[in-house]
Amino acid sequence: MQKFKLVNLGVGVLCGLLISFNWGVELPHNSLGNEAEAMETLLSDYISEQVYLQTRIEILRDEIEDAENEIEIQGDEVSLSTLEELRKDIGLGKVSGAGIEVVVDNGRNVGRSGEGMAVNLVQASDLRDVVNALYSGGAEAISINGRRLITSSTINSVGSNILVNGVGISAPYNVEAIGNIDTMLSRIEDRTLLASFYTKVLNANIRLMVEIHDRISINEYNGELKSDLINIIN
Amino acid sequence: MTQRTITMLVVSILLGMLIVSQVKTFELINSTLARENTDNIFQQLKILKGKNDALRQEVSKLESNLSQLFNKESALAIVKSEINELMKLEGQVGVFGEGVVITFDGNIGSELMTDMLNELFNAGAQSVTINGLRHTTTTAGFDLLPNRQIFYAGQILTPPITFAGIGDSKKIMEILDSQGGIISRIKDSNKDMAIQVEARSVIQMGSTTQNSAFVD
Repeated sequence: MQKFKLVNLGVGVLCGLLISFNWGVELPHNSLGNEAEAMETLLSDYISEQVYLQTRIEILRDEIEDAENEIEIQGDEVSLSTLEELRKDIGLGKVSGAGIEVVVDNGRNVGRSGEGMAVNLVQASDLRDVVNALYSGGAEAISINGRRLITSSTINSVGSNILVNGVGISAPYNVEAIGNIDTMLSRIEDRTLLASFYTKVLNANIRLMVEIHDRISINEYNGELKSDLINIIN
Repeated sequence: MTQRTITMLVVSILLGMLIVSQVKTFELINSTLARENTDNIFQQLKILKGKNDALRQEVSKLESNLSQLFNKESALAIVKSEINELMKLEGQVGVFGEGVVITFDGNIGSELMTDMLNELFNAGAQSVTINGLRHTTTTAGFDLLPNRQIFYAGQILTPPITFAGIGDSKKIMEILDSQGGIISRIKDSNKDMAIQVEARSVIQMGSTTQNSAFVD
């Protein structure tokens, strides 16, 4: 009898400890408190400047293309059609075609700051996984919330923001991809390739919606192209 | 069955549920945070500032190009230089330059491969190869085969997995190897794996149809 009471007491205490521990746990989130709030202001300034610079780049590239077409350059070594083809391949031209739209959103009842829980937020890694799955399914052009991705594009978390090509975007995240619909769908539905992502989707930590479209338009890339440290082998 | 036994049963079930719930929560948090650089917001802001500088440089370059397009001779040079730049980035020509080589003595999985590639470009790499295969718009995407092998650019990647990136090697090393950076996060989730990160004075990359090599 005495032994039974002790076992009961032990189990009760253990239960109490676990409940308290679960309630007491402050789940880590992307914000680093007050310091992060100051950083958010700085980040916001950087992002505003980026939006201006990217718009300027877009305008300048259009003007350059128009000026080149007017001059009608043609020679043995240079050809405007080669340039045009390369620009298209890199992602410097607007494209359209059949494709899929993958919408990824935060879980319900979650805030991005304060007590918002990291597990219920879409992370940059979730978007990277979706983009990787689409590329492996043969996507020819991808954008996230209208931001065109190129080979060197990055998707990162900075503070409580997700940045695509260095520009902040917010949920819901619309990933649009042009390419073979069947192969892209098969990769997006692949729960082995997207193991972590589907763990969160199935736990309702994040929400997923996939739609097929007959026509999707994806804008040109409007960021920087850096190749000054790359030299051609003659 | 006595009331006491029923109480014990209920308490035991509750205890079991709590333990499972706790383990699941921690696993999810760990897997989520292991892939994000949450430790170093200052480093991330520094990268962002660098990106703004790069955008300003791009604006200056484009403005200069535009101003030279009104003369046929200089326009020819601008178009030629544009073609060269795009061919380098698209992997249509063999290239070389200083950079960083990272070698994993094992398979790190498609998710960490994606993260590693993202961090290399984030740190300023201008061109990247994976096991000698040039990363371009036509090769992008790590696929997973049924036996968990990674399929990339039409080939199965077998360990060691080697990433090479041409760019400012000092800056790339600093970012990749920082506290909470990608290398330490991969080390944390692959404790037994040997990982080597080294700066190289010359990295040579073939075009998309050639093999690549590293030359010191």
